[in-house]
Amino acid sequence: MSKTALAFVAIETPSAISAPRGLYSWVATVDHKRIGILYLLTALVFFAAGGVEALLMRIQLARPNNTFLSPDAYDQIFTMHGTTMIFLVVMPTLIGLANYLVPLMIGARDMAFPRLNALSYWLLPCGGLLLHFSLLAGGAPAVGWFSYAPLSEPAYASTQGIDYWVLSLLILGIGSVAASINLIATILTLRAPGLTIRRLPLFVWMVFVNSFLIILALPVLNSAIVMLFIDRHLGTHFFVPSHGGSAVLWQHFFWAFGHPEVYIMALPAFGIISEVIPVFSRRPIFGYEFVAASTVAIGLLSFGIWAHHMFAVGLGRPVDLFFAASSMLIAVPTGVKIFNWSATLWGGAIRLNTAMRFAVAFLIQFTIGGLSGVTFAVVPIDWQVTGTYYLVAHFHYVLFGGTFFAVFAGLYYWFPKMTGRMLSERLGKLNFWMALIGFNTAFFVQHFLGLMGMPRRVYTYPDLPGWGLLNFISTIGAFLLGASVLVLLWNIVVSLRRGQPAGENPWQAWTLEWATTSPPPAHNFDRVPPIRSRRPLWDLAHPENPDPLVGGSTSRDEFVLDKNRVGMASFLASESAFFLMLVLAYLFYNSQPLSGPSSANTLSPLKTGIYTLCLIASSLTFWLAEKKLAAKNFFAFRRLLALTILLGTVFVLGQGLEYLHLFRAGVMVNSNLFATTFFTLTGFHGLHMCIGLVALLIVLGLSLAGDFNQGRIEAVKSVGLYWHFVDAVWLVVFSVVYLRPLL
Amino acid sequence: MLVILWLFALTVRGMQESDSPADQDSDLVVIGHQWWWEVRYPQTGVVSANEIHIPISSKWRVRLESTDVIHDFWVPQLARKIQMIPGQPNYIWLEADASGNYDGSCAEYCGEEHARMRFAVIAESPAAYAAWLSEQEKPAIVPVTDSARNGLKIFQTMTCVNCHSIRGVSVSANAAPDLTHMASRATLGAGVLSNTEANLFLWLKNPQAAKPGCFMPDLKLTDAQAGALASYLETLQ
Amino acid sequence: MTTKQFIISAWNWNPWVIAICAATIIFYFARQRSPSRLKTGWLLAGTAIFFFTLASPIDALADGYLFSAHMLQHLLLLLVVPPLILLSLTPRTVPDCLQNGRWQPASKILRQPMATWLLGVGGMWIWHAPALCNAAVTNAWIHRLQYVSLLFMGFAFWWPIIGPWAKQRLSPLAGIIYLFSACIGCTILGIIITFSPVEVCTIYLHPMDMLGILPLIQEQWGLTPAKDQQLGGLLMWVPACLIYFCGILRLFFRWHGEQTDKAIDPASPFQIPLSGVPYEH
Repeated sequence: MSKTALAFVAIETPSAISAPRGLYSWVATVDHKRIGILYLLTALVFFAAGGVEALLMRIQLARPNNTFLSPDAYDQIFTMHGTTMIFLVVMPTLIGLANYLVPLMIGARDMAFPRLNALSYWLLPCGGLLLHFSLLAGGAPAVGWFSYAPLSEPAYASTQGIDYWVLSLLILGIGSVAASINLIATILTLRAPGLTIRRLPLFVWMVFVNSFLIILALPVLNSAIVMLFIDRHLGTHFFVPSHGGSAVLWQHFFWAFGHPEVYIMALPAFGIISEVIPVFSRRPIFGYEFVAASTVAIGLLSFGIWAHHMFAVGLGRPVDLFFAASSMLIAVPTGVKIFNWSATLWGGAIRLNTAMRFAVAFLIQFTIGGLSGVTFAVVPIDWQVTGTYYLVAHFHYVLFGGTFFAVFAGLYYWFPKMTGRMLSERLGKLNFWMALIGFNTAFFVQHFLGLMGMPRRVYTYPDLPGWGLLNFISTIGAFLLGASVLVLLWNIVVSLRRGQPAGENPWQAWTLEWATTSPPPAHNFDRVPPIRSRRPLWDLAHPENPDPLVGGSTSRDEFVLDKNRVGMASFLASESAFFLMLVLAYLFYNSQPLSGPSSANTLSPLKTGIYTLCLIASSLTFWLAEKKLAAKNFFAFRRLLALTILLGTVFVLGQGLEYLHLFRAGVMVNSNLFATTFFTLTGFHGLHMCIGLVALLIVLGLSLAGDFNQGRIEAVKSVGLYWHFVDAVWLVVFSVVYLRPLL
Repeated sequence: MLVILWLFALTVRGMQESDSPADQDSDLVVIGHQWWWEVRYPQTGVVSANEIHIPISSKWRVRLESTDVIHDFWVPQLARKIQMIPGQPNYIWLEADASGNYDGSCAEYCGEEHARMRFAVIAESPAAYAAWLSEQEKPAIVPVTDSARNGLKIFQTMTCVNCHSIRGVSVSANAAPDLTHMASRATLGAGVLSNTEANLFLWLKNPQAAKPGCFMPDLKLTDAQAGALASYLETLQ
Repeated sequence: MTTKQFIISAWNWNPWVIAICAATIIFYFARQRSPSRLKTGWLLAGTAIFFFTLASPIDALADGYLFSAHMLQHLLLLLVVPPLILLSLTPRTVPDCLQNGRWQPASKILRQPMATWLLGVGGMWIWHAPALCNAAVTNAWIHRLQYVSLLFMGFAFWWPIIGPWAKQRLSPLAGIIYLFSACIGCTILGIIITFSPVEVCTIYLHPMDMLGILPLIQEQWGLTPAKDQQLGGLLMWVPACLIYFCGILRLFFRWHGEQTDKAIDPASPFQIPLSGVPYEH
């Protein structure tokens, strides 16, 4: 029959590279699989740290008026627990899984930028160690993971803990953004033939959307903590109310990052569940398009609901109502997903193994967490329960009972692929039940504690009726949960040595990662199966009953993208978010008359206007240069490039002169809020200009060495994008800072 | 979607019921400090700390501020939570339908002793409230016994007056709770200890032992000095 | 005056508005013999909203009383009326002269997504410059210019997304980026207006109470100038983004569902080039 004419298509690959051995090979690796495993192992170490911190807190809270931990110790521990779990455990775990699985699931050989991948990884232990170094340098930060101002300002937090926190988060943030740029470029440009966007496994799709969230949200955090750092060390007052700053602005900036961040921690987990549930229900996911569309919806909406963390701030009824409405709205796409997963389960031939158990528990627990979340959207309810243990229960239900349980499911599902051995089902059952009982015991009672009036972030509590008992129960649950993690670790250790060999596809799953050996060879695939639907391996195994064709008989998408341009465009998107926050801070503090220096009385739009023209001209010359290069006119290219560098340098010098003039007039960064926001905004722009000039010089040097003579000019185009971007940012800055007062 | 619309309608209704009042004078001003509550009654000039008395069935407008970091005023049984933000006063309604003693706490992490920044709202009949208010309006009682007079001298000569005020003795400072009628309050240290002479003695001897991290220094008082001071302060009903 | 009295009495039966509505409907049915029910529905909806925007009490409120009412008008004229009208068009309805002839330059702009994007987002921003905002309220001609320009910019903006000629439309993915970036553009403006401590359109601070409804607005409805500006910013931000968002979802579903009605041909093995396209670095 003609339908059986599906054959393996040989894809030419570089000759198989034998896996390097030894510890150094792990340190020097750029193989996405090894980097993924490094991420997971590092996350595990920090998980132990964060878990110990949690257990210490629970011991302190087991009885009222306990004295196990001093207040300061407790405060440092809860700050570190939050920061560690979010930035050093959940995000690396999810990025690590994505790193390992995405190239495999799309039939690629590696990520788009393997060395960038390695860099992203190494920034993780670097940042984590820097954060923990604070313990040796005067104490960990003790202001909570969201570090509200003015508590985090020098007047109230004099130890250096917060500085370590800021620096480590900057490093970690850069790592996450780099990893996401890599993932976006990989998913858009390295898919195997036949794998159109419409046929992507849902895990890959969710990681894809998630990567956009990361590149847009992390820079917002970076801008806020940079401003905090400047406050702490240069005597400025971004967030110090007594000198004109705004404590509420910190909350806005932080939560504008913080809310997308919680979806960043949820979406890949959704992706894991979307893979695990169909495989163990033995049917494709119900309503793929809806799950994919709802992911996009969540991604878009998540940027518009941050102020629901601020209902108690007194922003005003219209604002509160709008955010309440949008927060309720975001429950809809999540509900769609839960419906689809449940519908997949319904009527499927359920295989209840450990992975599936964790996945089903995820469904129930995430729904509970989601429902308690919706209660927060009802503003008057929020006014009672925010800042209490009800909130603590909510976010642990979605982050642990949700994301972490999904990670456990993914671990049991993909461990065979990563190591070639199955995890023990016996130990897995024990692991699961201990985790389930431990988790729910620990956190379900906290809903009641919150409703009874127990605030959060308290190192002790008075002996009110019921509080001691419920806290004690919660502590027992926490220890059981901790024990379950030990069981998991034991399972991993034992199975690595004596686990059942897994083979290529122990679960009879359908996505591409199962079409190669376990563990995969360094080059991932010898052969990639033909892809015409969302379940290529099903089609191969069932030629008489393949899945319906998805997206017609096309083997390629309509667009063809260059990975360097995609990478650069993603990077520029993240930079835009960063600059946007600086511009907003500038506008916020400069839309009212200020005493002291201001744009109108210290800046000269005319002089700067001339320098601006130079900058615009430099963009023009670069554009011309690119054209000459494309026409192989190397001499003209180099001349125009040199002219671009010259014009750029003139601009930077002009800015430098302006700074000098301002310093001489006594206008320093801490003079007033105009000066602070002005120097911050133009300073970062200047930094980007200098980096751009260096990049241009490198391009010039490479060109002189003959690098672009063969017509491979992607690097030039990418640098060009960066240069035009920096110029465009300057146009915005110029209009906002210099031209606005003239209006 | 229908559920969401219904919830949203409820939200609007709920907010309307408890909406912050329009610009008028406040009946009560509560100012957050690191780890205690300054309570002022603007219409009579009464200043107290950590304990709020209100008459029942009276809808009061409360202004909330802070002098240092962000705190959060929360008395669960009577009112919504609201942040106390330095530089930005917030307003809520406070009303009790039945008399009683209502516990409140700070609900925004504000530093080391956030956990022990508690207060009480005591709602009483209008007559009882009026009686309490008239007592509070009087300046501090002049000490009679020797021990108490000694205590007053210690208060005036040691650095106490730099932070604490006692109306009738010294009113220049408000970095720490007003002590004019401190003996009429139920607790010490914003809910840390119950207000007895013995506890006050312990507090004065070593405040850091009772509330580690609080800004009251250990004045290295001798037992005799602490005893005298405690006996004076406990006369300030 | 009570709210009910106000709603009943404040309609503005401007002859120009009525004429334009009538002309639109007549012109449409003249060019389009027997249009489908759906398309007629779009047209009537668009025309009705246009009428509502300019003739109903909203117009009276926007005329110097409420900044938020002014924002609502902008929103409707830029983001609601144009797409509705565009949805009702087919290639037949639009005059040939747009394709060739005198209107060539205009139609060229319509084919440049960057230009139309700038017109749509820029139009929103430019009318919020305080000087222009105030001028539009005080000077009748500038006011009319504002309305007309908003309509045109709206049509230009939505043309690459739902214009009548499929060839001139952006591909769905490009359309999603187009709308998403526009959403960001209007979000930033909305945030600035909502949270700005300063008045954007100062004329609304001291309205001239020609209709005698100032007590109604400020006391009964509780809309002080501060709240009014907040509301205006929020309107500009949230409903506008929801509209873009719906557009994005529609494009997404269309993109996903595209080509599935082509005949399924499982028999054809595809020819995969052996040159290892995905593996080049």
